[in-house]
Amino acid sequence: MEQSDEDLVEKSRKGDDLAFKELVIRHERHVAGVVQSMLGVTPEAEDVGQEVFVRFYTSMDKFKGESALRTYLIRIAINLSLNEIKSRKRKSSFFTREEEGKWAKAPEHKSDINEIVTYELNRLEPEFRSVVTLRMIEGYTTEETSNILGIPLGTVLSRLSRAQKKLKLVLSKHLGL
Amino acid sequence: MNKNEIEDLCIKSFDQTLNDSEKKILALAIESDSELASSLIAYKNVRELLLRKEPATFGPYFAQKVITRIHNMREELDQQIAFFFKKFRVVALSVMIALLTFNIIFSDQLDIASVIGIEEAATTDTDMPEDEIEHFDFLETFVNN
Repeated sequence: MEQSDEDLVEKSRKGDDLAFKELVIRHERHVAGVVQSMLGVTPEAEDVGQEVFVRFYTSMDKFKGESALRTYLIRIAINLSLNEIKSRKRKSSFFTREEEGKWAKAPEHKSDINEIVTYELNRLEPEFRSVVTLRMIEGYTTEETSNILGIPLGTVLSRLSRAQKKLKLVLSKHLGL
Repeated sequence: MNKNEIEDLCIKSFDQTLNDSEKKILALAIESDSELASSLIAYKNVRELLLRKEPATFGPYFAQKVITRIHNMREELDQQIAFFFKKFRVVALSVMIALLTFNIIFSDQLDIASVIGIEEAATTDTDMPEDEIEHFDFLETFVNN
């Protein structure tokens, strides 16, 4: 019988590394989805992904189980991704345009839909990107999105509306939607 | 409702359940305005394009990498603690030797307690003021009796 997240957390607290590994395997795809949507499929994204679980491991005693473990991990993932975006911005202000391009590369082949979508997503402001990531890419409900980001439902809806208008405009131009 | 408001209603329909009157307004607007109808389709396509189709992954051995990182972190912490004590080991030993030497030189008796600086047990309550201490005079008590 499959063990619950709560059982695995309890075992991990007692130092059972195999239990913690099972938790990582179980939640990797949720964390990967969010981090890669926020940062792209990059080595930094994997690093942030590892950091999410390390942070959870070191603060496991603070996790009281009031929210689902997945929600808790996604919240850490979003916060660390936003920190990484801030850090990229700081770095890019010191770099030349060529070096900056490493993170905000315009798609060379206009036919590659995924590249175009990723490029346009990366151009959204971080607060819009986090809402789009959770609701439109990962498929969380608007209530879950509001709960994870700690913002009112109305703010989620207005950010979604503005982000969709922007995305429709740019994607229609590229892809003729 | 103007065109912008209808467009907002159209976007809202993806994330919230519209009430009956909103549904009616949107249906009428789409029927009468082909541009709005194509706009609705475009929004739907954008959302379909964005929605994840396959589960994301960080690649093979991700969980093992996390466990290794945690182990490395623990080892690093142990090393830092060991390094901290190693750094002050010589200083601590020197202070201990100095204190022992000081005690040996300045103590009257060369018993272990005085060398390691343990005070003798107090025989009087030193917190009590001198005039409040009752002195028991054995001879006076004996003569009076």
